[in-house]
Amino acid sequence: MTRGVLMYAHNNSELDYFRIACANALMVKKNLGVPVTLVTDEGTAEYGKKVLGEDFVNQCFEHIILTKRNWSFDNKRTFGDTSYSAKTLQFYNCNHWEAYELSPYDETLFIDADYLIMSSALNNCWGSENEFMINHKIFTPGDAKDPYSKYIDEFGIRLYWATVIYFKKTDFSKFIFELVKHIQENYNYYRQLYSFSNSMFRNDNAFSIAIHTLNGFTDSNSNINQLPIPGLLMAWDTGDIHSVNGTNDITVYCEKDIKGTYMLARLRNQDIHIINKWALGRVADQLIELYK
Amino acid sequence: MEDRLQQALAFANYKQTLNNQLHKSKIKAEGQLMFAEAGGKFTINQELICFFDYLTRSGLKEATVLDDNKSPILISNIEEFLKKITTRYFEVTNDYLQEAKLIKKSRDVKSILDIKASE
Repeated sequence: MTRGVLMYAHNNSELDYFRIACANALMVKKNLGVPVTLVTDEGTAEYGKKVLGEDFVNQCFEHIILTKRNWSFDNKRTFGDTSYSAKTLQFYNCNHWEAYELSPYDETLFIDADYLIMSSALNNCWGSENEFMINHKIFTPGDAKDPYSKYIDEFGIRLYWATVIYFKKTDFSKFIFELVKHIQENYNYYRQLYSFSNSMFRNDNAFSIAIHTLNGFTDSNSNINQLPIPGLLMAWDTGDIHSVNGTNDITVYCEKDIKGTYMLARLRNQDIHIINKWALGRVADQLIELYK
Repeated sequence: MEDRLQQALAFANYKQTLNNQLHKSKIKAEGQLMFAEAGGKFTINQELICFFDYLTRSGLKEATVLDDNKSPILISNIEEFLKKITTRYFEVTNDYLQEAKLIKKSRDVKSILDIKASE
């Protein structure tokens, strides 16, 4: 039974996802002790190897799988860097449905490159009875609310977060990824059917719809269990990273309800999804140094 | 008046940071109390420990129990499982206690965030 982590990294004109993925791959190796496979495109991989060095890149990843980039895929996203700065750039995320086929592992933890692995919590997934696990519960570093669920629209279905997915190579998992592909290809139709306003393609929405469909168009989650963690810790892009204090130790700024007012939160041995990619880019080299 | 108001606002900020940091420690402890065994997921709490203690005292060596997802899981060595969950429970709660103590005794935002918790 092979086990490993799968990540995607496709750079755009300004954000270096590859570097972030390298940092996180080292964090995965340290905290989970499993190999990492990267799915990327030729341009991103070439650039990454050139700036970081091929030896170092090979040290980070067990396999690098190159996929052909679909240049006609136009998916603009506003990347915020606190509430005071934002830039609209391409967000290449149209090939996550391929993860099932591309993963070289029998058991895969499919994580976003910006979900920093700072604990061994996800090791509880290995050997699970469940074929597929994904979370709908999240919480944030900046408030004292217990993990909660969100919905894709005020009257919509439950939102599952495709940030971390555990799957085994079974027919059931395959159905989900095939459905995600279908939803992506017909995204405008599903956007209207499920009444969400944002036209940007989100894998979170696609997986939520796929799960809803596989549950017989009900919101019960009888087929899908959550990951063995209380919820995904989400640091929104309205905040920033204050400092990396050491191994598995990070301090973040979180914006309070009033714009421009912040609170600091220090997180130790807790995995965290940093949505502010600019902030992550600023500390990626520091993380690489720390975990190398 | 302005000074007093400023002090009140600084205190509010301190209290908010303190509560938030305590909350993060609580969630971390809850996460660490999730335990995987034989493909199942169990949340370690007093109830689970007491149940397995009862099974051990009843002389059972193995048993099928329901995990957090209500899936049936065969625990093939009850005594060993009890030992594992009890050990984990006290490791986590002791760490949580130490961390919470350090946070609570901090008197300003800076010291709350500078605390040295046990790894």
